[in-house]
Amino acid sequence: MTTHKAPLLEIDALTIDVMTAHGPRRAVDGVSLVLHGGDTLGIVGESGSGKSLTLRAIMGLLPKGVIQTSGRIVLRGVDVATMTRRQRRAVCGKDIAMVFQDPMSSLNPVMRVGPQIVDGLTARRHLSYRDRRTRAIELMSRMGIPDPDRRFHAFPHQLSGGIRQRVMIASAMACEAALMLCDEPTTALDVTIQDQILRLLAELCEQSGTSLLYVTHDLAVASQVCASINVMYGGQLMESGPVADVFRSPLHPYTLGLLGAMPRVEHGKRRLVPIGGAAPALGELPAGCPFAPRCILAEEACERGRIDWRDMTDGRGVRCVRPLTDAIAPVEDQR
Amino acid sequence: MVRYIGRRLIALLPILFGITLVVFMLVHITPGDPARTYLGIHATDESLKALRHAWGLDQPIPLQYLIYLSGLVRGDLGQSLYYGTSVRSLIAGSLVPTLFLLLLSSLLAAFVSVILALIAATKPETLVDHTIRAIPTVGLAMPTFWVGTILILIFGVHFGILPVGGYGTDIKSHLESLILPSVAIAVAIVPVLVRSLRAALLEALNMDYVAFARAKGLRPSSVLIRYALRNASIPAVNILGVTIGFLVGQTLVIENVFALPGLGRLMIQAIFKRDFPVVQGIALVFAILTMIVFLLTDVACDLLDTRAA
Ligand SMILES: Nc1ncnc2c1ncn2[C@@H]1O[C@H](COP(=O)(O)OP(=O)(O)O)[C@@H](O)[C@H]1O
Ligand SMILES: [Mg+2]
Repeated sequence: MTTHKAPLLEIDALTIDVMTAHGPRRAVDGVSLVLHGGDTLGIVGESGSGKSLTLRAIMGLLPKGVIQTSGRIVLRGVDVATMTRRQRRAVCGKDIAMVFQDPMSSLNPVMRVGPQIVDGLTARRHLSYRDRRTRAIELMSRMGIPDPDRRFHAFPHQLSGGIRQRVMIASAMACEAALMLCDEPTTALDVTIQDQILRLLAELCEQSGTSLLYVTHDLAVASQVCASINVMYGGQLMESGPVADVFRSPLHPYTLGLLGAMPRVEHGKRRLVPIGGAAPALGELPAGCPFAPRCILAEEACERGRIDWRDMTDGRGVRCVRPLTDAIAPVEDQR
Repeated sequence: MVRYIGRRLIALLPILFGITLVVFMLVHITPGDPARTYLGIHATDESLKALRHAWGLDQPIPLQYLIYLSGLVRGDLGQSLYYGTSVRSLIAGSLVPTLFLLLLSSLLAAFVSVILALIAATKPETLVDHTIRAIPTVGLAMPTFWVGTILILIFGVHFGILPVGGYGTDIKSHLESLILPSVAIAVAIVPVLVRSLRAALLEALNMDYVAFARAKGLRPSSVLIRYALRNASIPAVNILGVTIGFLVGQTLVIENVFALPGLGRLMIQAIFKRDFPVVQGIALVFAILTMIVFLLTDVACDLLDTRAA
C-alpha cells in the first residue's frame, strides 16, 4: 500500500452522541481508522457497539437525535467538515457507496428496482431511458441476478431477500465508487445466500479494485472478505490488525471471547469460553474499559479510567491494560 | 384491476339498496304534507285528497316503496311535484356544476396540502413547520358558510374581481364562479390533509430506503418527491377520499352561499317545497357519488401501493 498518497478514508477520534431523554449518551467513542485504496477493512462487534453509526457518520447520514461531537472524517485528504452540502452529496454514491443491512426496508417499495439501481447515476448525468435500462440490466447480470430483463420491472416485494440484497449492491456499484461501505449486508439472509453474496462482494472488489469497509457482528464473515479487522466494543475500538494474526493470536480478551463465541473453531488449540453477561446498554458504560465487567481477566487497573490505545508490531494495535500475549511487544509503551 | 373494480361495483349494489330504503324512510317520516305545500293553506280537503291520490301518497307506505323501487330499476326517479318535469332531467341539469365544484376544490386542496406538507416536513419543528400546522387549523375552526361569506365580501364585493355568486354562461365564467366556493371548501379540508401528509412524510423520511437514496447522492428534492412523497401519499390519498366524501355534503351549504345551480342548491329548494321525489333522487345521487369517490380512492391507493395489487 502506498502511504505517501493521502489515504482514501481517514477517521480520527470520531465521537458520536445519542440524545436521549436523560441527556446525551456516548455511542461511538474515539474511533480512528485509516483505509487506503484497495484495502478491505472489517469492523466487528456485537450489536449496539456503534458500528452502524460509524458508517452513517462517514456518509453524513446520522439519524435525527444523533450527533457527531468530535473527531474528523477525511476523504482523500479533504475533511468532510469543510465540504458544502452539495460537495458532500457529490461524494455520496460516487466516491463512497453504501450497502445497508436490511434489503427488505432499504429499497423504495413503490418504485421498480431497475430505476432504483441507476438513479444514483442519473442524478449525475443525463441518460436516456434506453441507456439507463441497459446499464441497470448490465449491473444486475454482473450481480448474478437471473433474468435481469424481467427483474428490471419488478417491485422490491416481488423479489427474494437475496435478490434484493444483490439489487442493493448493484445500485451501490452503479457509480463505480472507490470505496464501498457495507453494513451487515448478509445478516438478514440465510446462510447459503449469505455465502453467495460474500463471494460476489469479494470477487467484485478484487476485479474493480474497490475498497471495502465491512461491518459485521460475525468474525467468520469478516475473515471471508476482509484483509484486516477492527474489533469494536461499547463504542470503542478494542483491537485491530490483519485478519489472520488477530485470529491466530487475539490480543484483547474480548476478541478471544468473540472467537470463542464463533460456531466453528479449530479444536485442540485453546479451550475457548463464550463471553458471559450481556453487552452494556447505551449510557451504562463504565468509566474504564467497557469490557471490564464481563472480562474474566479484569483487574483493578481496568476500571480506573480510560484505557489508552497501544500500537503493536505487525500493524496491530490493542486497547487493553494487559494484552493477551507477551510475544508481541508494544511499539512504544505509553504508560 | 378491471375485474377488481367490477367486483367492487357489484358489492355496491346491496349497499345501494339499503340507501334507497333509508332515504325513502327519512323522506316519509319527515313531517309536512307535500299536497298542502303545493296547494296552499286555503285548499279544500277534496282537492288535497285528489292530489295525494294522484301522487300515490294514499297508498300504504310499503307499497309506495315498491312502486318507487320498480321505477328506480327502470331508471325512473319519478316526477318532481313542483316543477312537473322528471327528477332525472332535473338532476342531470344540476349535476355538472356540483361535479365541477368537487373536482376543483379537491384538486386545489390536494395541491395546497402537498406544497405545505413538503415545506413543513423538510423543516420539522421549526417556526415554518409550526406556522404551517397552526394556521390551517384556524380554517378548521371556521364554518364553511362563514368562510364563503367572508370570501364573497372581500373578493366579490370589496375588490369586485370575482363574481359574488351564480354560475355564468360560458366556461370562463363557470371557472371564475367556482374559484371562491372551491377556496371555501379547501379551507375546510386542507388542515386535515396537511397534518396527515406531514406526519406520513416525516415517517417516510425516517425509513431506510430514504437513507439509502441519500447514500446514493440523490438530490434532496428527488429524495423528497420520488422516495418520501410517493410513499407518504398512500395514507394521505385515503384521507383525501374520506374528506371528499364529506365534501359531497358540504356542497349543500356552499352552493347555497354562492347561489351555484348545483345539486346541493336543488336539494335545499326541494326540501323547502316538500318535493320528496327530488329529495330522494338527489340523496341517492349523493350516496352514489360518495361511493364512487371511495372506490376511486381505493383504486388510487392500490395503484400507488404496488404491494397491494
Ligand atoms: N437513531 C438512533 N436513535 C437513538 N439511538 C440510536 C440510534 N441509532 C443507534 N442508536 C444507539 O446507538 C448505539 C449504537 O448503535 P449502532 O451503531 O446501530 O450499533 P451496531 O450497528 O453496532 O449494532 C446503540 O446503543 C443504539 O441503541
Ligand atoms: Mg448495525
